[in-house]
Amino acid sequence: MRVTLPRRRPRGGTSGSTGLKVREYMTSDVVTVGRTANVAQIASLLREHRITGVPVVDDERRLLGIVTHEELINIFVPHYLSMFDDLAFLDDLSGIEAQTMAEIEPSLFLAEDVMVEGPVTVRPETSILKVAALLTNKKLVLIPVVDDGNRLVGVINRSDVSCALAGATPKEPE
Amino acid sequence: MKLSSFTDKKYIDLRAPAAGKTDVIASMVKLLGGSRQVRDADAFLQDVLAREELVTTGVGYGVAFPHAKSDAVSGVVFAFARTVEGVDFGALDGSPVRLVFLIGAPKVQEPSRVYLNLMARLSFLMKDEGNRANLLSAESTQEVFSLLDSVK
Repeated sequence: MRVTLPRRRPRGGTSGSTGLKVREYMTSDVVTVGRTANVAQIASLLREHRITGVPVVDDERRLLGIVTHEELINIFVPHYLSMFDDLAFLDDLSGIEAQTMAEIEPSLFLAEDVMVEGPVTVRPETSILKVAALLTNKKLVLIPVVDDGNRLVGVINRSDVSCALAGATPKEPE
Repeated sequence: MKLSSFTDKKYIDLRAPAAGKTDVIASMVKLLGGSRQVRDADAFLQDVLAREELVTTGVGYGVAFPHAKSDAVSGVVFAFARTVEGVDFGALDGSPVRLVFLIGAPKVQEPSRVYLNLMARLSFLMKDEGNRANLLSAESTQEVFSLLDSVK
């Protein structure tokens, strides 16, 4: 499994929210996986780096898709439960809970299998406000940032955007 | 989730010839080629073989789950084959495979979730040695369906 580790890009230091661009707030050194990473490996990465999702890239860093906690959870939560707003009537889910990762072969579920293909992407020059609208309207947790060749150059998430819009002090580079 | 609702008795082969891995997969794709869910059997076969190239779906204990999300597939569907003799799938534990589930799904998102649910449940089912023994000894497709639907 190929993994690259994150390092925060130094912030641009722009104050206020007008005219803010993705490049100033995105994480440029991103944790990524290849298409053969399995779901157990991906889940470990998400926990280790305290991130909500990982882009899936090829050997030339072209974006193939994205895997978030939601995709990992969806493997196990029966699709029909999404039809109910209130699950209070379901007292006993033990039969379903038994089908956890401990009982399922993780190597059967690769990034290739679970990733969202063709995810929403933005460019470094995209405005933060547009990203904010995309995150909320489409209920996304992070958005890959790509160049003209669809190569991954960063990711931007809800925390980045709320900090940018709220004028929070930029986080120091890690 | 009733597992048998994603297949048909026509897509169950209890006497599949023990050819090579590619031949077994190809014969199963041919079975599903008659379904309304598979629009282009050749394209689906290529997608399944491409996925198999990444990492084997022979998970061990004599079971394999070749699968693919494919533009050639319009709905979640699976076929089951029990081979006459063990087939080398390059399985993780090195053991020959006799129980094969071929699963196809379209690339769009919501059916993809159903497809992952289906694979998880089939995988769960086949972790149990008793279930595998029952499939190995099943004499009819009805027995196979009963076992499939024993998991919720």
